[in-house]
Amino acid sequence: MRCVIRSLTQIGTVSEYRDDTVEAEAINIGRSLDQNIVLPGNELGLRHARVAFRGGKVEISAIANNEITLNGQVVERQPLQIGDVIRLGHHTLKVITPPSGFDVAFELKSDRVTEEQTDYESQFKTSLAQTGLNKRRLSWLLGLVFLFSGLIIPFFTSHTKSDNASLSQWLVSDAFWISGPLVSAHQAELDHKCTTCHETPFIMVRNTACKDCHKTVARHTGIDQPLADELSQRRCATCHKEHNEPGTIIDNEQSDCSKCHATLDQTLTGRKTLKNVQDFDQSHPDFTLTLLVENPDKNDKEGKAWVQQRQYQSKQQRVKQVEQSNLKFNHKLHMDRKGVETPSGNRRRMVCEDCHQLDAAGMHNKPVNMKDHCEECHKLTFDPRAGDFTLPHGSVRQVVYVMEGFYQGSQLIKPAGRADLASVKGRVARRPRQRLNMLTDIASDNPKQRMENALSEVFERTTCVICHVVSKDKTANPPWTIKPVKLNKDWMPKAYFNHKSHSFKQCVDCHDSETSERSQDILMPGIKTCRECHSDSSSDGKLASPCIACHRFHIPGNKRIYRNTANIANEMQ
Amino acid sequence: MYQSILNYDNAKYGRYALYLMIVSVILYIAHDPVDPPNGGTWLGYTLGTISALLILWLSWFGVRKRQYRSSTGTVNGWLSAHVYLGSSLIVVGTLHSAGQLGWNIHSVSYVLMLLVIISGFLGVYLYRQYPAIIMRNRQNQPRRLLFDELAELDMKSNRLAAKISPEIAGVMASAVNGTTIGGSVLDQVLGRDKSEVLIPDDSSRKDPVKNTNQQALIQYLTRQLANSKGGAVTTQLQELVGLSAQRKNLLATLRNDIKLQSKMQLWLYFHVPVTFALLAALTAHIITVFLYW
Repeated sequence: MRCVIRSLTQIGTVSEYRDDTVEAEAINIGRSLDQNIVLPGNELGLRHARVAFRGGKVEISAIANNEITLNGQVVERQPLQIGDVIRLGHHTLKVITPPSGFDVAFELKSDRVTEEQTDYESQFKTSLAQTGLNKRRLSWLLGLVFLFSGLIIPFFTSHTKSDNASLSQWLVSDAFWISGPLVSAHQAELDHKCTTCHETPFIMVRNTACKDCHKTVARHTGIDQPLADELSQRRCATCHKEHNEPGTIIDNEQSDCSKCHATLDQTLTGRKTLKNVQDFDQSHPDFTLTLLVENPDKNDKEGKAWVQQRQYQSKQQRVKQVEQSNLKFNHKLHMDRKGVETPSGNRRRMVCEDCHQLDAAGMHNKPVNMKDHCEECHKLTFDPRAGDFTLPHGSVRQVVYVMEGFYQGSQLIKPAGRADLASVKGRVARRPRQRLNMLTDIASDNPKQRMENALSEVFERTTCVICHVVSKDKTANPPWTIKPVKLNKDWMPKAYFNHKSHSFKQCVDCHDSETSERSQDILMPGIKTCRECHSDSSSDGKLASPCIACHRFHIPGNKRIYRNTANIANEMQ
Repeated sequence: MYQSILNYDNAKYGRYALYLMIVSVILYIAHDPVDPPNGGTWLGYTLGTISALLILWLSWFGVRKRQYRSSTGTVNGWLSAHVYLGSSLIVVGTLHSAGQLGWNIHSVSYVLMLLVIISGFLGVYLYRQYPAIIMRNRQNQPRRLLFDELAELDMKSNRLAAKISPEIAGVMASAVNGTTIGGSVLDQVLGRDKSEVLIPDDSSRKDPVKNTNQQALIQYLTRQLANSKGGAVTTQLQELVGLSAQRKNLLATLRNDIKLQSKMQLWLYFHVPVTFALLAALTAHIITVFLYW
């Protein structure tokens, strides 16, 4: 059955209608939403009536005991005709001529419920809007609370000078704006005073704020180098970022370095010594050693006889590189696994730490010296008749003076005999194959000759010359010269290496000391050794090591960033 | 035809929100800043700007839904976009924060944002579930008709009681007058019945007694009915008990209706004010970040 329902509504004097079509076997009318025609109103049943074909005619029937008023008569079931008026509660359904294709049509009119009838609800508070709750008021309240506590009060406590300390102590401060913890040094030093660094509102932290404390920061390059000013005028905060846990204040991003260093040959034309470096694994050149060499500048103001000089050499040259320390030392001999003979006659196996001891920073070894590291075995005895009396480890003059004194004061001492020679054997520490006939050489009857024999014995054959380079000029007084020993302190001063943090390794893992027989041998490891553990990334189980693991941006020894007053003036602008 | 806001235009805005979230996550994963990820990298600023603009636009919904004349989209469409894009803020905002939280205005903004979004989820749930529950409770009647019916029942009961005896008339009148519906926020939300009735007893007390669910009244009337000696009074009392039972059921339906309605709307009393708190905190967040740049 196809049905049209024309709903009429009257607003003022204007009538409107709306047509709805329903297609169903039977048209159900009632209060419930599942009805074909839904009519609100308590006086109607949920399922009130139905309209259906019956014997070819359209018929309306009441469901259960519901009432239908048809043309003023209460009916239970009745066929419908055009013009019939059905009254259901306060609704009126008029049967009208259906349009073509439809079986039945109704015109629906609903009486308006008057105001008086609905007044009853107003006696009660039946919605949240009638209670004390008020969205608008609550919104303003909360908004203002957060605006004041989050912005306005902190601004005034931090940007006005308040004499009332006890009041501002209770107010929200600008510490409420901190976006992340400071590094501990800053935290301790700045004491939550944001304006120390954030000097001017809405202006990024300027370098001058850093400079106030970090006065001695060194430049990356020499002051006369290309990009020197550009580099020193970069914002400190480009690399040093604060308030960013769990980061560190130091930028360890490799790409920040390789940005420039990968193409140095293009930017720094004319400087051949700095090689292009893109990464550590592949393009980093092997280490360039810095050796002590004789000062080529004879007019050096400070009168330095020796200077450190980087040795820019090819790979082949590097293999042949030797050190000229003027010291004779055989690592292999001392590192003998069977041990070396001690003065007491025992054998002791020496370890590296016997001579090479770390300084407090753990960076370098303390310099090796005679007193602490050699003298225990290498006693400077010179004559068995003098017993344990030893020569000073000092200048040639001192040695000569002491020996002259000894032999002049002992003119009565009889020349040495075979018995003396025999007694020497167990007492004097000797190098292997050391001559033992010294006593025969100094066994002269003339005390002066005896002393001269003894001196040349000590300087040229048995004592000094074992470790030192001794030259002789008969015309000079004294005739011997000992070349000064210059031990290199830092082989790679451009890099940072901490021995302490590598202490889990054996020295010989990196320094091939067990086979070195000459003191000229350079026992510094090459980059290959480092690459065994260090890499650009930790992907292959190695330790990720960015550039700053070994190198510094602010290179020690360079001039200070803030030394140039013109730069400071620029910064202040 | 009623259409869920979640399915509006085949959940078009749901798809937009999903794309936004996916793009944000992919960028976040691909982004490898020098420092730990934070709101100050280019991606951090980008996500922050998107979040801030989204928050402003989402808040504008409160204005748009009142602009009945506006033709920029339908309110249904706006609400659908409001829900989906609001949800995507959980991802975008969290990525902007990069998990760097602390006791500061920035994290306060973030937490407020989450509170608003979560209360919004509650709202979506309530607006989807409660209308059907409410209609079932009221059996599809508008509330005003239920009140009409109550008014009629009250009138009928009072008239009938007046016919029986002055005492019963007094009790009935006090029961009608002492009937409460709704009330304070808690009364509405919990559907509390604080009705009272004045019933004379042997001690001739004058204090009203609790009349929750009209129990005291109905008990009183049934007592009277048991003591009645037949005839017209008994019939009238029977009818009055019947009317009171009808009243009782109707009142329960009404209270339940108010309870359901208020529960359905209470989240908005959180959602909207916290949104304003969020707007204030967000303002402070943005200003202070650049104030101490």
